[in-house]
Amino acid sequence: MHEIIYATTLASVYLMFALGLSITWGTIDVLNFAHGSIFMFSAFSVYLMLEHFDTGMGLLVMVLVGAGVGALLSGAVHLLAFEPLRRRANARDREMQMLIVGVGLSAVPVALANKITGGNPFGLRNDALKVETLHILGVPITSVQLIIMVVAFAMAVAVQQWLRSSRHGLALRAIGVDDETSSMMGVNRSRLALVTMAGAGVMAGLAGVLVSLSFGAMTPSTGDFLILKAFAVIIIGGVGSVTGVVVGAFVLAGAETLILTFTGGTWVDAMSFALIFLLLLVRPQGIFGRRAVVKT
Amino acid sequence: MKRVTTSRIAGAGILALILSSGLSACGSDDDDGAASSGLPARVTIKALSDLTGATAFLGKQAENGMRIALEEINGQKFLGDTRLEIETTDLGSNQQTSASEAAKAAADKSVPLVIANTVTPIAAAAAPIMQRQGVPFISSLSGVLGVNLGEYTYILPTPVQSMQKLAAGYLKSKGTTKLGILYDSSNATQQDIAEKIYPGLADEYGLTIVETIAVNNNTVDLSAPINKLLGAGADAIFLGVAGAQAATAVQQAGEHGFTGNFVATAGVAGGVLKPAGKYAIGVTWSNDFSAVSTAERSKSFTEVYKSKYNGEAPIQGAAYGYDAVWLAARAIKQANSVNRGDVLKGLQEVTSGTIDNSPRGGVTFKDRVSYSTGLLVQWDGTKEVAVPQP
Repeated sequence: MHEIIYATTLASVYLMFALGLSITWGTIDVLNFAHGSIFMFSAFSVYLMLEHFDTGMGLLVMVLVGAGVGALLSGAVHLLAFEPLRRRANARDREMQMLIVGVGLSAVPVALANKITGGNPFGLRNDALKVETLHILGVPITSVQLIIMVVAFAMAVAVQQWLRSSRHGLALRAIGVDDETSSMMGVNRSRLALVTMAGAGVMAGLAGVLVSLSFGAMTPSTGDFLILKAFAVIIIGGVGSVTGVVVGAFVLAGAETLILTFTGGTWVDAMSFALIFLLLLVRPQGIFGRRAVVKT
Repeated sequence: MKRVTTSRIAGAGILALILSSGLSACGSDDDDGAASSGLPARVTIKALSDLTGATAFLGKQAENGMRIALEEINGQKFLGDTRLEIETTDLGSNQQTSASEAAKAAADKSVPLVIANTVTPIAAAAAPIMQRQGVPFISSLSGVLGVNLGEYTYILPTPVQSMQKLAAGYLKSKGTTKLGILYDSSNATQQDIAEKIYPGLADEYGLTIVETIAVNNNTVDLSAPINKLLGAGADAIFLGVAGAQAATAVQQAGEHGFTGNFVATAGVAGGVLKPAGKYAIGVTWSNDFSAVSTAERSKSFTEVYKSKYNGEAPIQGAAYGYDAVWLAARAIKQANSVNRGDVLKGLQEVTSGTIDNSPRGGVTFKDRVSYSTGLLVQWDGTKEVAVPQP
């Protein structure tokens, strides 16, 4: 029972982090390597406010600030880097250029946070925040971990419903299939792409604050660790599939927790990624991904 | 939804994997300012430092300590008319960068000596290159394992076995009998402490090791391993992790109801535990140097460091960085040459006796590894305090 609960809490963290990344990759074709930095810097912004104003801050205020910073950063990255690249580069080079630009951009917030913190960990716990430890079936779990679980799954359901049922969601999916044709049919690709990137930033910011509260500490490099896990989650589940991200998060977190519990942490990455390798051999497009259609 | 080809997924995965991949009152005893006829007007030594990445908090402090030593050396004309300079490269706490920068430094024959301000796994990537290429190499932050590969390497931190005896003695004085161990398996020093040193010390200090758990340095949630340690009945935990992982482990253990003692390595020094708040009160570690030490030489170094770096207190990394540059300067002066073979002989000669201007107190060398007395330090929730030795 312990393992199931710990795997679920870890899966929720991966889900929160990876969901925005998967949606932007699967629809507007932006593989945003700066996602981890946005995640970290959103939490870091809240930390700076706590330090600067030397005052307590409740959970709601913290997540609002974090989500806001995430949206602003992600939107700015899109407007200032990805969108100009998309317009200028040819389709073949665009993807690689976006990857490289994302990697470069991700270094800026990390360097800034490193400069300010001296590389030390930072945390968001403060007097205004009450964190309780509860026991579910005998397993100790904090109120923040419970909130992460609820928020992660609520986010997944909301995004899934939005993509399936809303007009904008349908338009976004259309962009994901063929952006040129969807533009000819009246979809405002640029605006929708900006909204999608800002939405992914909100999710990254929300995740940054909650994960920082749950783990107690984060370093400027924490986003870099998590982006590797997020790629694994997305590849397992299938790019752009919300259900895929949920399943991918559970598969990776479940495998890691079981390996950690029953063998030893040394093997966690090796065995988890061996699992991914095997899965890709059997189903290259991921569990919920679709095979590519070659256009002639 | 976008239909993504296998090659694109694989390409992104590979890229993601690639991406995954720190006194004026401190003069020397032999600062006679003697002429150094065999030395050029400028001597530049190379420093490979973690200025960014997971262990930047140590690398930056080492860098700061080096700068203090450099000012003293040039200020008092320790090398006569020769000016000593340091060229620093940021390793980003990355092993691949460490290896490639070590290779570049080795290839540059004008570099007489290299200082590595980085932890064991990163230094271990540079050490074989230094040894093979015959470059005198001072490793300021690493342990011995995987780094001390031969005659060209000098290690500054006092070996962990010596340091952990202080911590084990502290646990014994607290009446601890059941020890749980959590360590970072990617760090050879932490692994050595966890798997060899504590089992070796257990009998002597009346400890039973109830559980030992390895984690990777990228494991962000430690709930499961902490739960396993507490489930085994540990009444004390050795934290063989550093940085954010240490704060997370302490907080999550506290939230799981753990009220026992924590002992750790110096990887938790320098305010690392601050995010863990009340749960970190009482975490104790043994160290070569601490700003809270009452020894005169430590106090004077701490004052100079604070005045130079906006009141920031030095941690052990700063003392090691300071010692590394003074050791290099002494060796170069002794050699009166920038030839690597001569500098190595200089190192051998100056490390044959006690070095007494270190912020760590009197330092001696045995098998090219430095030793100092050490002290116990504790986090009181807001700052470090010295603990009387049991």
